[in-house]
Amino acid sequence: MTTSKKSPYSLAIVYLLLAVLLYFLDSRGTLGSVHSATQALTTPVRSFLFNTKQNILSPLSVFSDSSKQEQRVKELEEKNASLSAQLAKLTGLQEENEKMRRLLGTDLPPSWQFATARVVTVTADTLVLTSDHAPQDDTSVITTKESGIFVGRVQEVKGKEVQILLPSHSSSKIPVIVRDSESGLRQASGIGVGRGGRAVLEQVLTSEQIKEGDLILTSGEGGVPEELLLGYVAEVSRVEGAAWQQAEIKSAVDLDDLDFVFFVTKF
Amino acid sequence: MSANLFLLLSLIFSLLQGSFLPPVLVEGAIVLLVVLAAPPRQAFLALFAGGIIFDLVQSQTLGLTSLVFLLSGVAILAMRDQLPLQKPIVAGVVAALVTLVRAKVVFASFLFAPSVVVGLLTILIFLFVWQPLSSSRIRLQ
Repeated sequence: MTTSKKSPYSLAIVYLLLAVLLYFLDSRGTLGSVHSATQALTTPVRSFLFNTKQNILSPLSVFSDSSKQEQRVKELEEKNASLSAQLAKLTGLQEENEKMRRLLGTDLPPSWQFATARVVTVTADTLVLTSDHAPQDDTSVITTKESGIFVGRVQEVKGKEVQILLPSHSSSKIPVIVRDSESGLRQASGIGVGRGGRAVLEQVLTSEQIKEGDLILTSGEGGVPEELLLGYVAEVSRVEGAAWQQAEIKSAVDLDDLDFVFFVTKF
Repeated sequence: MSANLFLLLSLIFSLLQGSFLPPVLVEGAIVLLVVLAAPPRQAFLALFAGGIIFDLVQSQTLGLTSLVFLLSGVAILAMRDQLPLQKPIVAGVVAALVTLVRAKVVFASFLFAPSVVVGLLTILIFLFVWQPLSSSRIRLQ
């Protein structure tokens, strides 16, 4: 009796040790070829399923007027995000005269280099891409070359699949600045911190004025290119007497509508 | 549930989850079912292999899901004499917990909505599809 009760647990320990060994080897990148071989089979299927989901969801929205309006609002928000990013960029150019000359007539500096990647799927706070280009860890990802909306940073590369840590991921911290949505003037600086499913603007001094709708842009610190639109200020929280205030960040990008994104390989 | 059925479901749902369904969903239910329905030796092998399938298809670090599945399996086996796991509510809570743990460990985020869904799904399975065979085992109705 004792033997039959013990043996399954000892078997479990053997499998646990095997799992730990695999985890260790894969963490060191030794099993990249195994991932590549599997992805060759599974990525087309997952991509097909993701597109099928999008196709199923899109026609359903046509049947209700509210969905049409939501679609219209979404389009306008995207346009607004694009315009806001351009406005912020122009303001940044005014602050630095030298940079202005270099950037005049373009949205992003011509010296920047990009590599394209196709969106496979979105899982929790991670975006999964597939690309022939193997980016380095922490490479920034933006939506389009023209508008420069920040999507996230490269977390891990497995074969041809690249995992992008979104700003809402619990381990994401991005130094940011806040600009007024109308004047484009710099209002505050802080850190965009992921809270799992949402992002929060933290470490903003209470003496600095931020309000709903203000633009949140990357500050250029921490290896992220500057003046990329991260999102908008939404719902500011202030505690009387506290040194810091914080605010919810409304994302500037709708991940479900993304087909292609760009790695900023040089900036 | 046989170990083969568990592996087949692992393959199907690892493809569906993330691309068509939420990134975590059925794993809590199927882990519980395979541990309660299959002999322990087969169950552990299935949990290990199932975890590898999930990690490979979802491009996660290999072994991570196997660790979660195996530790959950050991915990369920150890608890099955103490907890009335054949009761739908208890089974639902355990399945939801397993899903929640995988969500946190693999995706670094507590995904409450899919965990609640899998809890309810498990309750329905235990109410209408599975019957208790004894206090610690179950069989298909």
